[in-house]
Amino acid sequence: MSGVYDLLAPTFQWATKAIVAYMIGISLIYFVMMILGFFALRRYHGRLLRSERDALFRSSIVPRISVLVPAYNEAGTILDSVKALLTLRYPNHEVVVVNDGSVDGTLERLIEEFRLYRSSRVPTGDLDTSRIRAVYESLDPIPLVVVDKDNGGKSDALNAGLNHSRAPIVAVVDADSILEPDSLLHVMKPFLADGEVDHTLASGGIVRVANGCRIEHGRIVEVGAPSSVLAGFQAIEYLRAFLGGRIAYSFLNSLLVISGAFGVFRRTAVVEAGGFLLDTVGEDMELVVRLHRRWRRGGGRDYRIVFVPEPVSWTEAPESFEVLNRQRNRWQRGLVESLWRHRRMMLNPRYGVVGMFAFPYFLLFEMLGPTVELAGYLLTGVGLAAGFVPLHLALLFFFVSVGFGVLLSLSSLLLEELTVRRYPRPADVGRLFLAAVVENFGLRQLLTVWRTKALFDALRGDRSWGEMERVGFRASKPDAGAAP
Amino acid sequence: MDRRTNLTIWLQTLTVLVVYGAAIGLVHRVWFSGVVDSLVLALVLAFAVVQSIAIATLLLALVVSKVIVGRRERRFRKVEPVVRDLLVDWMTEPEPSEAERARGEIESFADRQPDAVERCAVDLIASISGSELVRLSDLLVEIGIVERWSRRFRSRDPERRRMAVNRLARLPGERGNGVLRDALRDPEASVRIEAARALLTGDGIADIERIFHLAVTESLLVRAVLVEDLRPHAIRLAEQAIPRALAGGDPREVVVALEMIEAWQKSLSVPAVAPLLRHPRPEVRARALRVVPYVSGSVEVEGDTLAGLADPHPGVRLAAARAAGRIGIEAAIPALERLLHSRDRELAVAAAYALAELGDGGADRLEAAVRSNHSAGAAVALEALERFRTDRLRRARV
Repeated sequence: MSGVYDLLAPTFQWATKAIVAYMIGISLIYFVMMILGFFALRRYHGRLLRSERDALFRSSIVPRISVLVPAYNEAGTILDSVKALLTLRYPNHEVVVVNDGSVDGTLERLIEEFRLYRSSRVPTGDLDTSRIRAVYESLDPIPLVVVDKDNGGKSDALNAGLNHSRAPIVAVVDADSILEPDSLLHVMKPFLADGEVDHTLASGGIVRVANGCRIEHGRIVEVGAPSSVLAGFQAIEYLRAFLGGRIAYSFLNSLLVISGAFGVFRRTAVVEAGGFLLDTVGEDMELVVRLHRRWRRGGGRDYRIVFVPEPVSWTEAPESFEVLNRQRNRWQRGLVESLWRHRRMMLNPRYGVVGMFAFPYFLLFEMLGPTVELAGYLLTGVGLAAGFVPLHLALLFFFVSVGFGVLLSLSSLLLEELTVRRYPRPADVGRLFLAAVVENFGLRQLLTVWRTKALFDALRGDRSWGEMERVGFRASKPDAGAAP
Repeated sequence: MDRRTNLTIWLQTLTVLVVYGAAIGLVHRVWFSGVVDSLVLALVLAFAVVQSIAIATLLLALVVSKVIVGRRERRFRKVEPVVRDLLVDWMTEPEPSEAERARGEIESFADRQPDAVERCAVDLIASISGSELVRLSDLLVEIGIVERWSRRFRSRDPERRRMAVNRLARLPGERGNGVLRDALRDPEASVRIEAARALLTGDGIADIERIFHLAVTESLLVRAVLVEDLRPHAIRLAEQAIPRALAGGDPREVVVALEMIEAWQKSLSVPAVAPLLRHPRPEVRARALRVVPYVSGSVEVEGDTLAGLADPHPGVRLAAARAAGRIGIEAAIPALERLLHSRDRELAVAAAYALAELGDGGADRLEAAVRSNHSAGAAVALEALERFRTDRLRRARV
């Protein structure tokens, strides 16, 4: 018995120490990124003023945008979404809805509401897609195009939208996303601010959780914190992801993700890169990584992929564990797929800071992090019970996982209050502070289990999306939201 | 962000990390070094303490700042009616002694609560004009409020500079224009925009030409904001500033100047555009072709537009096709018909739309293309015909 103890105790202790070192590493990098992001945000003077936005809204030289909206069985929300998109404050945009073989009457609702006729509009792009059944335009002077096609998935629908768009810039929007009225102007700012050459390939902004907000006709009319615990956790998570990491990544020009809920791309860049990839569940991240890869290869072209620290889009977070699990599983698999597909960028100096920093960070911490953390919980728990791990080591693990988690969540919420400040009621801020603490006791651990399972699902080659039933924004939806 | 800003951000981050390191070391030494055996655990606990203190301090600062702002707001609300009445008295009181009394009290307020006087004055300026505006502005100069704004313009904080420019922009005549002209050279685009828009509300051609030059040399963002403000001055700019920009050696500035003309969509007399149709740079030729419908309809331009349809550069052919349709050059029909079958789908669509704009002659060719076996050409021809007829239907309904 003593022999087994002598063998297992040092092994447990060594493994726990390694995990603790790993957790300290992840927390410190995250901490540094947050400070870097804070100062970068303070130096961000690019916020468009109301008067400037008004002037841009009247301007005749802002580039045209095609807003691509893939829609699959969105009959419940599509009319509100399209109306809200058509009335965005932007002087020159068209909305291209791609009906991806819906069977719930999505197309019929659009035809009836917007008096669509079967148009002869030809595609100007050559990306491969499923069969296009028809293209519709409105009899009224509404800049709306509806592409009806066989079902082929989100990427396929986006490629069809790219083929039928005629603008130099495309915005990719989830049908259930709610955009701020000036969101297109905000995310276009980096494109407009380019000097002589078109440096900016893509830009995205802050996506927020819409649960708890009052929504009317596809618009947020009153901001509020989620009342449900699960959505509150996710609100904190989104803040942490957007304010904690993306600003710093953007500062380092190594942003690997632009949320699929709302991102803007230079059309020629996406077409040149081959459009959206079909056999992936993380098409948003995959495209951004591919753009980096393509533009940095062969000496590298001067380019930027930018995160705009403006709240531009709202998404409804899942409020059931089952749906949340499915969503996180898909995000994690998307991450694994993107990293695996572009593994040659890993630690490759040709890809600059993307290859040498962002890629290893995403692999070590975003992809493997949950699994290592889960291993830490198991090792510490079993080791402590069996007497293999001393109390101080277990405490240490608890502090670096849960304790640091609480501090980072609180810090991102504080960053929100110091900079963006979108929650007007002190009670909302208080509720979120509470959620920032509580999420680390239970939900965080549950997420590590789900994400670890997703890692193995991805390694097994699972590429399913799961069900996407939507019955209206205010009603419960099984699979909502976009990867933060 | 420029290199200097990047460096500053890195230095600030490094400074915070060093301060954190020192604080963690201190907390570790004072509280944990003798109590916790494990060095790593002690350091982790020290970090947790430091970070908790930092969060609590920032949170406290946030609350305190909210309280201070709230108190200031309450104080302002208390004096606002009084100051506002005094300012109105100063502007409108016909009795000199009463006006002087009001002025004395305003000066006294300006010494004690300059922010309140400033806010009230700014609110008032937005709603007055003529002699009252001049009188109030003179008072603001005399009691030092304008000097405050000028000082603020020298701040390192771009937001303060922009606010200063915003305030100075409200003054009539030349009162703030010196600073506004300096602000056109500000490193921050939003400050330059604010100053440019303010100067454009005046009537001085020198300022208008200066801002046109600024727009031509700046990013698309600045141009996009200024283009509509410059539109009312287009005819005056066409006299000297535009020809000067078009004659400049920098192709980028020439393209941008042409872009502005196109955006205004005003009929302008700019003979300098015609020679640009034969410019060696394709982007200049293409942009000049886009402007042709607005500046001239001479035979010479028609010839260059027809030549543009056979230009080796696809962007020039595209612009020539659109120009041919807009101007209505019937001689372009055969060339447009050929472009209808181009493999460049965007060019084919442009050619089809141009044919649709060329009346019956063009429509006949489109119908012939629809009946032909060339599927790509037939598709774009059908789209153009359909769009042409749908638009006509819409117009008829209106």
